[in-house]
Amino acid sequence: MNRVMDNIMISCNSATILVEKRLDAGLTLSERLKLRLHTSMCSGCTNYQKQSLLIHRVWQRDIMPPVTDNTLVLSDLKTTILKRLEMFNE
Amino acid sequence: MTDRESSVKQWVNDFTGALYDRACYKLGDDELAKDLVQETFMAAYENFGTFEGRSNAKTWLMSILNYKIIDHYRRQLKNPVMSENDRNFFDDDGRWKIDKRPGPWESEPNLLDDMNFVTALRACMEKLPAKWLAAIQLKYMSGKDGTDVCADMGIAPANYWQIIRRAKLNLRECLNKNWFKL
Repeated sequence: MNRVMDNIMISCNSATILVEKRLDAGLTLSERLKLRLHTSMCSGCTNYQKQSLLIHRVWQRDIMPPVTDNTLVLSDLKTTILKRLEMFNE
Repeated sequence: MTDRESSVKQWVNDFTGALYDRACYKLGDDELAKDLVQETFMAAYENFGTFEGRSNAKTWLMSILNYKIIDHYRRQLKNPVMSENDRNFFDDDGRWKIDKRPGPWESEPNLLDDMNFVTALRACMEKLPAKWLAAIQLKYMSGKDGTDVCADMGIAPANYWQIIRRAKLNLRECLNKNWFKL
């Protein structure tokens, strides 16, 4: 019975890693159960989970690929590169 | 004009856009992206001899760019920035240290729409080590999951969630001090 308990009960250290894994790649059934059992008994990790989710939502909303018109940037960049290539030959 | 010169000039005209887009995507930094695209063409010019006989210039250029991106991240890995590591938050049994145990944040559900909070969070993010920011940006911009990000960055998969956790633990500390005034 003790071995079963040792396997089910995870530390806060492990729980917080599972919180991040869940947001990123998802958890196995076993991992989900262990996390839920832990957070049901640990206010620190319950709060961590809520706050981690909040930060995750801000990142999802705010971090987006640049949607700008690149035409000028690209034109300048090409000119710069061509100039540097010319200098190679001097 | 030599074959080398005319080929590479043509590549600059044809492929700068695609290379630049890819670099921006993977680095989250347009100035750095410009630098690495330039370096890619310089390397292609210098090593033109190794290209002869291959068919696809774009693929070859992309692979040079990829190498330079990974190399950039590897160099960052060699310069660790001082910040609180995991041991500062957890004791030997893996439990929260007493003073590090997260308390509730007031008005939590509403914080997402609180622009002042978001601004404070962004300010705290600027204090994070560049490598962590890169991992975060790479993931959220590309929508890939951690394992792909790890492949791009040349780090082990298990490390990715630790980096994210470390980033969030440090962000919490910063916000506790500067926003929640705890």
